[in-house]
Amino acid sequence: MKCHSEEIGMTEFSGKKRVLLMGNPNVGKSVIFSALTNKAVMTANYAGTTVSAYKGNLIGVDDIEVIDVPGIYSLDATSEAEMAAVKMYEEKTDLVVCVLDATNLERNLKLGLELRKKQCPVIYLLNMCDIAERKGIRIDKKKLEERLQAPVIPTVAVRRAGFQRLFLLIKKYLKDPGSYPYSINASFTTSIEEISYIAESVQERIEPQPSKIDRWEKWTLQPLTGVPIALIVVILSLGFVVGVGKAIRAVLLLPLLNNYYVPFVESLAGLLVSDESMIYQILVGEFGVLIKGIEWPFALILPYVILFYIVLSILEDSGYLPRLGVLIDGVFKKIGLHGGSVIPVTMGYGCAVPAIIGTRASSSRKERIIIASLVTLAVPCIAQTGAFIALLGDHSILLLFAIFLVSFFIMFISGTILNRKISGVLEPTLIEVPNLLMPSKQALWRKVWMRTKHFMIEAEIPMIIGILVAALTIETGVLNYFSVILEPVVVSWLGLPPEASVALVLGVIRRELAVLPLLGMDLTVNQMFVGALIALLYLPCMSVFFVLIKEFRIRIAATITAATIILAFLVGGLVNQLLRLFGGLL
Amino acid sequence: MKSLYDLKKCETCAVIQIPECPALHSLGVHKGCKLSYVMKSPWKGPLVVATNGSRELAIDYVLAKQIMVEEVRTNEMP
Repeated sequence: MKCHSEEIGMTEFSGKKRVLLMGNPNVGKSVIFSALTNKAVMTANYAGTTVSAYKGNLIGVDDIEVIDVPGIYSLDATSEAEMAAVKMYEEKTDLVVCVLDATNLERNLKLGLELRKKQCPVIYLLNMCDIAERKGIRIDKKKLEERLQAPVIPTVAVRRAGFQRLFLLIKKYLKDPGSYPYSINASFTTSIEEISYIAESVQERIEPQPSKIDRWEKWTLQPLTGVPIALIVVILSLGFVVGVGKAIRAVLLLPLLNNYYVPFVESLAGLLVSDESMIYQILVGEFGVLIKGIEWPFALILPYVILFYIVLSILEDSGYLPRLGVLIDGVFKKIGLHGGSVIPVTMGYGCAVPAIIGTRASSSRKERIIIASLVTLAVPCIAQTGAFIALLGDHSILLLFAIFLVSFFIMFISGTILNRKISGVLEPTLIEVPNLLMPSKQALWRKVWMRTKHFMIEAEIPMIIGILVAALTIETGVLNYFSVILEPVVVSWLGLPPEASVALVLGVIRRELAVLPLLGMDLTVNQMFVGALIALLYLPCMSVFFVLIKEFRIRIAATITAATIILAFLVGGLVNQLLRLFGGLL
Repeated sequence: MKSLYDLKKCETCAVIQIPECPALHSLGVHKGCKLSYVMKSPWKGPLVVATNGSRELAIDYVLAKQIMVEEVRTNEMP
């Protein structure tokens, strides 16, 4: 998913003055980038949100561009991200805006001082001042300026506090470099002792009274309280998405569709062509583009998509996910992942594309491949989940839970196998636990809007193409041909009706299209379950396949894809045979 | 001297020996730094410590066993 407006290559030049926005991971750079450039930006309260560099013009100034550099801890260039950042810095930098986390000054000063040692003016932003205050940390801004020999601006990025001065200083220093109030050749040492000395000499600590958020920070990490909280979060999230989504559909969307829209387009199509003609069937028939093209994406899927993105954005912005990662790290290790992988896996329940791109923040290639494989194989995207709710949830909520249980089980088994088969070692866990924050409403709605818009653009066109393919295959009789070819598999092995082969054909285009055609087929409970199971494990959608190629090359992308197909038919068939043997689910 | 993993509830320690791990250093864990116990994650999960009394860091139990520390009294904390 392209979250920012312009992702840049490392050697791209524009001839403009260049401001690099740098700092440790999760200090608020992307929020600041968004405020400086007015560019849509994906932000979250955990390290590794920005995995590529992005650029945008400073608001109202066309000849100054701001680059959001992925978070790094130093300029030692020991990691891939650090090497890329150093390269970017060396290519062209006119000014650095270095973001420091006021709650963790000492650690942030390492990079801060390394940047100050370079022959380039630096403006320091002392971000998260509100949280530092809450934690009893007071930083003497003037003293810090003296120690760093550079301007320091206290900010609270999520509230846009302190940005006016930043705008002014960026413009001033770039227009007139001589106006920078300190020597850019100041000499510094970056030894641990020097960094500790600066940090301790500018900050004062008092023991604060624990606030409500401090208590929640403790409770979410302690196993005794953290595990029940995690369960409650999952249940509430599911309840919110499924319950509210079903209510919106039942009360608002389906009546609108069935009582007004469908009769309208049917009569419209009837006026244009004969209702006996093939064109009429393609437009408003069983898989009519004008009906299914609206019903599936808008009335069936969209409510769940929006609600899921609300939940995901709250979890991301509150900083809860890394805490969950710490709690389940021990379990995740058994399948070759760190607890921190809970972030891309959770994102996968929205869409696999950003989840796979997000694995760039993982510490090893082995872990990246395992996460990408599991997300592709057994994590249903929200569109597919919406289709599952329509297929299974409307019949029995237990069936829906059963599919998710199977998904977890398959993830665990596959992860264990992949962990053993893929060479490489898992780096030790090191998770920086972010402060818990109350998500900002404005940031939350911006993220939900960005993601929903992206979903509509990415999903709507392929879905309409899929529906058109379905309508054409049915109306031209091609489906019968497919059904005959696939009959031994679809009917004999999987126990589905012959027309279910259309779901297998459409599932190539998008994952939810492997489920939605089953809705109108009058299936038994066993068939619904088997059909959903195959759809869960079946091919990744086209976008996912192309992202897999981009991130891991064709060999791995093809292997993952082949594995998903084989597993889908194998597991689906076995479950069908077992259900037959033991008399079925009902 | 004991390993960081042996740190108990309410204890604070100073690091006296750490394994070669650049990521630890980047995250502010170095010789002489003070760490306070926050919690131990279940199922051989990480140990969570607070660095300099504020930011929390989860350290793999294998790595935590290799970090040698000595206990410091709370009033020795900066």
